[in-house]
Amino acid sequence: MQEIIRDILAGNTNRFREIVSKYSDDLLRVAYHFARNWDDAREWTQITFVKCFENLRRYDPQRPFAPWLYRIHVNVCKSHARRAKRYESLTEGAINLHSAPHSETQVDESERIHAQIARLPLKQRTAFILIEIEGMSSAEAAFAMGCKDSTARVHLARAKDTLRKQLTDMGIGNDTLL
Amino acid sequence: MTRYSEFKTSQIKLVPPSNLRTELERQVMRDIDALPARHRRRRLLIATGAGVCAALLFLVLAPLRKPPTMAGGDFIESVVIMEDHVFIWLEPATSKSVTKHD
Repeated sequence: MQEIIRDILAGNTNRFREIVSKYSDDLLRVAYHFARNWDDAREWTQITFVKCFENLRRYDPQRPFAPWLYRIHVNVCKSHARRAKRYESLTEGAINLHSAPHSETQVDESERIHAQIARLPLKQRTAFILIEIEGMSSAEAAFAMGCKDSTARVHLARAKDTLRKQLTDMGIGNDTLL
Repeated sequence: MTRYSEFKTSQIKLVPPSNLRTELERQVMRDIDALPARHRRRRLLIATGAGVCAALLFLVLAPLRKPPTMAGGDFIESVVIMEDHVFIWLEPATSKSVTKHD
């Protein structure tokens, strides 16, 4: 990876394609957990890669590349998710007026779990996505979130608590893994 | 396996659509190629903005500046001839002290 980065900084921008190929799946998946649709996930991941390219000179080659990239990505996702939430709350009333009401049975169970995750506060949601779903260690997630290891673990514990209650109420919870 | 576990497994195994990956790669490389032009445009915009601000500042502040003083207009010339001596002196026009000369 260091060699690729050296080449890119030397002017061979075509080698950035290798970074995109290597990390696109992981970043798209993380973005999808925030956005809950692939179009936004693609757009946010695209922004992350461009930001990464623009700031490549600031990257410290002594440290691993992936956590640095994830840090940019998490910031992009969080800021866009915040904006999307504001937009949703603004348009919620209008959408409710025009869309037919869905019954509980019509909604896919997986979607209901997703909806509960989406309701978590942003920091808790980030910790939950990175550690619980993406399988990162709390130290890696903490670096990506720009906080202490212990703080990331606290956010995760709170997220799990909230989800456990909500999913139990929905009859989905009671899971030892959660 | 509980329903939450099933959900979690499905999320871990989640794979983005392949056309999305191709599209992403294409867009990212296109954006990167366009970056120098974008930076040039940004620099040009900043320079133009700074120029416009400086011009506006000049236009706003110019009337407030004191006009340059004319040497002759600000002094009163006095001439007195006494016998074979001619005394000429200049007094500031704003001076409050008035000297009487008979």
